[in-house]
Amino acid sequence: MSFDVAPGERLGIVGESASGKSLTALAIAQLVPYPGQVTAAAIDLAGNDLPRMPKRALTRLLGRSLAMVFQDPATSLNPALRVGRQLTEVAEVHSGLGRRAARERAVAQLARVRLSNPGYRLRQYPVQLSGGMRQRATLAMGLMAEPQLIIADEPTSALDVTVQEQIVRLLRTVSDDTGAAVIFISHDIAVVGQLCERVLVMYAGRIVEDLDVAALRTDPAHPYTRALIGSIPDMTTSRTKQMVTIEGRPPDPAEVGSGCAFAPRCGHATQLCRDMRPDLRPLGTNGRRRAACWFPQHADADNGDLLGASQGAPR
Amino acid sequence: MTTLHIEDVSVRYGAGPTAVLAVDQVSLTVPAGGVVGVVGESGSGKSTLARAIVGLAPLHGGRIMWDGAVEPKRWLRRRPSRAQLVFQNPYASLDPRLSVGATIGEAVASRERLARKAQTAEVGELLDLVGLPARYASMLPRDLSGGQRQRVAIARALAARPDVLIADEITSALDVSVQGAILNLLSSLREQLSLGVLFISHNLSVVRYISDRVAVMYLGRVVENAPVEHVVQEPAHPYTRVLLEAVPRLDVPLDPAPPDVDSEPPDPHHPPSGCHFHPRCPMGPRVFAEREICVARDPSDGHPERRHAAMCHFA
Repeated sequence: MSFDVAPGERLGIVGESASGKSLTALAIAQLVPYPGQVTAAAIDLAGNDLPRMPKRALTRLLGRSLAMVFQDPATSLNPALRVGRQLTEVAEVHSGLGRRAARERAVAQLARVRLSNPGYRLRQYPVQLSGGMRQRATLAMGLMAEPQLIIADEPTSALDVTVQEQIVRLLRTVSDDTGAAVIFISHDIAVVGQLCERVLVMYAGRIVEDLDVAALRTDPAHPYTRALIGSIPDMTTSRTKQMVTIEGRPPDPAEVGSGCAFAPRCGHATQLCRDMRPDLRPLGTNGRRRAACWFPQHADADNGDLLGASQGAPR
Repeated sequence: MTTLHIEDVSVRYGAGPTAVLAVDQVSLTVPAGGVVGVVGESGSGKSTLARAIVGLAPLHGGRIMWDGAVEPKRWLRRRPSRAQLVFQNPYASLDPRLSVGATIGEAVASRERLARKAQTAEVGELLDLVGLPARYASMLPRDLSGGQRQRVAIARALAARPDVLIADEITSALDVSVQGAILNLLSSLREQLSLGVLFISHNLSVVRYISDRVAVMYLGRVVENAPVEHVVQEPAHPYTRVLLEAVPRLDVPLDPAPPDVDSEPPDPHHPPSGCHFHPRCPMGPRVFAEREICVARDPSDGHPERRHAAMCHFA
């Protein structure tokens, strides 16, 4: 897959579990666990070619320029260390600040992520914070250096809706203020639509559609994107109709043949789709919109029936 | 055609000053064939209520009644509870070493001793009811997808021929494309078996889609209980409004208000005085200084009817 994110841009990546969203994030951060291997023509962060950098320089660069927020804040904070120590360490190691300056910076960053009473929070252990507060603290830790890219992998999935809204607002404010680019990974299309300007839809390890959030709302082109949106109830879904379901289940990435990975579940699939995989090609004339489909859909076609009818085998 | 009445049910953990009233005088009615949704943040007591109904949490007060008859103590019952619980995570709730048939068969046997042939037939019928082919009986949970496992868990619950199915976040661990199929299954089961369903979820969009009535819980109390249209269109309680506004919607961009300082649920060990919601309430004393009654007085104090409608001084 290929994509780029501009400074200050917020890019969403959506897809079902095992579609490769998280591995994409880990590949950027050079964190793919053994025995996984990353091959890339280029992974470029602000002019640095990450895979070909010496290990030391890479660690220094990523420590300064990349912030990551994961789904489970309990695992990204060290439970045995006070919050303050975990924050100041970043500034001491990566920015060479002294203890006092690092502490001041930590207080400032905790205030920036709107954690109440920052001086007190510094002395607390992660267990003493609620889930939302831990997520704020993790983000503050990422902001201790000067990140150019913030990768947030399902940062709100373990949180309540009210807290989720606050974290999404916070990410938006932080990227507006610092000019950092954001890659926001989520299975929840509605949340992505609130935060991001652009969305990548992933299926079986590939990007199947790359589109603006506005287009996601009104006119997704790939049948999978349409099916995904149709299968999520929102506050306007008809209560008398059955939910749209997607027949079958996502393929094992190892089992995808030469055709389109979504073809077995797609209501529009033809022999062509089963035989040959469509490339991710530019769609239309305006902007960067791309789709990997032989038969991209339009808003006026098959209205209301996003999948081309499907009520099928149980999953 | 049995109706479940929960009357003033309380569940308390611990004793003395550290006691937590996890469920605080909750009353609900689940009619045959009706779906009652329960929403609330984590820690609001939704799951404890579910556990109390099936007898997994001790009642501190109140009673559980079936068509007006009080449910006998668990150790006096001859047959399994008339309410059966389905859990959030089907990866954890099924025994990995038991085949699907054995898992469901065990539940059938707890209700009624049958000859082996009759039991196999019953297992086949139950699998059919949840939309799985009978051959799945010989499979192990690891052979199944998340959605299929959740179907097996539902079949196991139905084996006891319950009057009410309690679904505790049953779609939360599933992919969005599977969630719709499980919701469709619940709808068809309530119709076919005139099964009552208590549907617990933190996801308001899902609850709105599936439920006839919605109970909103906050810190162990039901703060609003009304038909789903009322709750969604004209919520009476400010907390319900806060929840509704936090639901992410693809068609409505997030308003640009700044992120709130971590306004999170208070410590259940020390619930706020008066109305539990007053420290966070957008129409309470935080905003309108003259509304001291919210701090001083419990809304249900002198107004028992508020426990069944909206627990608010100003609703």
